[in-house]
Amino acid sequence: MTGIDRIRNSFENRGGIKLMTHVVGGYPSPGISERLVAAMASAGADLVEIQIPYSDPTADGPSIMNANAKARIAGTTTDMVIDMAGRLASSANIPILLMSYINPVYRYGIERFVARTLELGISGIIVPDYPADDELGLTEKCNRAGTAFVPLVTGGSTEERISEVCGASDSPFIYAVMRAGVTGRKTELTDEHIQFLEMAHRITGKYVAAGFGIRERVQVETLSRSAHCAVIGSAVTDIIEKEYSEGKDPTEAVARFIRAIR
Amino acid sequence: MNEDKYFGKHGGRFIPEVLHNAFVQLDYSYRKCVADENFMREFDLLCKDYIGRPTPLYHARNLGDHLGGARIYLKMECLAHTGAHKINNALGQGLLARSMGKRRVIAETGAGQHGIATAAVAAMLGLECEIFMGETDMARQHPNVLGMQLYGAKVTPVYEGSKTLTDAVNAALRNWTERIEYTHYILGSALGPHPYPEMVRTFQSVIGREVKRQFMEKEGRLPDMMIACVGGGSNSIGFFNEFLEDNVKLVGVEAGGHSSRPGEHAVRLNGSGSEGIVQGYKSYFLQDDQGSLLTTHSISAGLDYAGVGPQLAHLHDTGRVEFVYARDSEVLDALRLTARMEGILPALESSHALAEAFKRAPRMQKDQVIIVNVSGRGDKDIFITSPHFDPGWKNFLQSEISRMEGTK
Ligand SMILES: Cc1ncc(COP(=O)(O)O)c(C=O)c1O
Repeated sequence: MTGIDRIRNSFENRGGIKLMTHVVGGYPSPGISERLVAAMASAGADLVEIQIPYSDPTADGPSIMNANAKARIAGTTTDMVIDMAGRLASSANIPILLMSYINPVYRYGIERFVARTLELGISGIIVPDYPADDELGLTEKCNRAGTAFVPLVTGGSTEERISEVCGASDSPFIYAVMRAGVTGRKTELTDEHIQFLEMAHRITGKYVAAGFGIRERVQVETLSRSAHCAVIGSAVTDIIEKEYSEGKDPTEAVARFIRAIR
Repeated sequence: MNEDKYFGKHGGRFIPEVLHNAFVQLDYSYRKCVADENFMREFDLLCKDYIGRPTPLYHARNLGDHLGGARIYLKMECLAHTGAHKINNALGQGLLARSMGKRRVIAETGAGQHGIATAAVAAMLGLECEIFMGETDMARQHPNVLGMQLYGAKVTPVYEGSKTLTDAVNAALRNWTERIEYTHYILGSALGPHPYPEMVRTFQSVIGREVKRQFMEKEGRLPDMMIACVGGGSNSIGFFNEFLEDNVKLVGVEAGGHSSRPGEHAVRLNGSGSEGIVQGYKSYFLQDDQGSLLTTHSISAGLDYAGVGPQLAHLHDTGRVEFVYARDSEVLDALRLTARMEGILPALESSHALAEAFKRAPRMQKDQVIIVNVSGRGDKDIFITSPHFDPGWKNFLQSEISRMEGTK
């Protein structure tokens, strides 16, 4: 079964809106971040994206920036995060994706990076600063490996642009960014968001995951009218930061948060 | 692949999807404006009346006599309004912002020269302005911070990373994604996603065009060598562009910092940098083996940056431009000599280029000519240079504080 199959199955399984959670690999420590993903899966996350820490995460707000910096200080390497994702992919029973800015992937080697996802059963990758022109052939290589290259679309995108961005990838789902700006701050969901999500689904025929500023259960309920998946990042990172800085193990609090939002 | 986004293998446009529309509009408007006679006439007029162009090409006879060997000319970008070449690009992009109907401009700044130029142009054109500046740079280039605020700009400190230029670019990019509809990002160097490298070069190439004409008038020929400092690459590419096809030796000088150890310099093109894709463009970067940027150091905030413009990276690959570096200590010596010999106070950035010229001139012939681009003036640097040059500096600062407290 390919990564694309695993993701499709996950979306086809059970009813209701799915939940994708986010962690920065190696944050707050390599060991804890691995246990966090396992705890998320047990608490009801349907997919998890693990971010490769990087010096210049330009699409991220303060919480995730801080998590990137701390993971790097802890000595987290791209290989460590890939290996961790691989272990979780075989143990956790849900699709595991990698999220990275383009430079760490480029440094690692595009070919080698995609080959590793295939080898380790990592289901997909998300690269926020890699545009649809696919100038490095990343999307195409993912398609060939059966790994989902998850396209990102935003509210300002025209219908033509959305088909262009999503057409090249075999990913069963796309990631709809719910507002301009960086991750973190809560997004006020409006009818416009709902219409945009419906349009994105209609144009692409793919499942639609909605993210950026999703922090609360009511938001997830609102999204369930038109999205197939809600993505939660900074809200979880904030819990981790709070618990860890108070000397506690954050896994229990994160699991509680996910059960409550589910 | 769209070939004209690239210089050889460098350049391109690697941006998050939220910026897609902004870049479509920027591409379109930039091309429309540079092809529009009225736009270019207004740019030329303001270059003359507002910036004070053409800046002089000055024959530095004392330096030439002192060093022996080649004669030295200085292109005096230090005399441009707000004190550096940065205003050429800020003016061009400010006019572009206005013609795109944007009411707000933002910019990153390192030395503060691009920030102050942008703030001045924004004031003149009636645009709202916010400047992002690393906390470290705000401390070491404080005179420029005060200037920007006087021009009505909001100066926002950046506390992330090494708190220098790279982090200021990230902060500006983040801010832009939140306010694209009414904001234009005036990037300050010949780097970033396409079309910035090309656009910044277009507005800066006025430097080289003037040099060619001025030197032709004075000497009736081309110079033998041209030397410029290289941060992101805007003054150097603007200076070199008109001469790329000519038989003139072109030399770029990077910041050698304290030493060649990682973190102690900003030399990207002498083997330490490697290929990467950062801040939206492909080029050489100082990075670790995970693809994260390394911290850099330079005595000059304007050269303290981990990447280099894609066209210069390409000109490095082809060998058309030779790249060297100057250490902090050599830079201070060159600054002092220029001040002493010519009564000209160059910026620390520009003093890198002067340091290289002073090494080369004695080895060249009397009938040969080096032109150095003095990209900016050094007043902004007094808090960095004075502790080196003035033994009484600390006492002066202390007495100044006492005086202010006494008169409160
Ligand atoms: C006076 C001066 N020269 C040179 C530079 C370096 O930038 P660039 O390489 O883009 O000319 C700066 C940047 O702040 C500057 O202020």
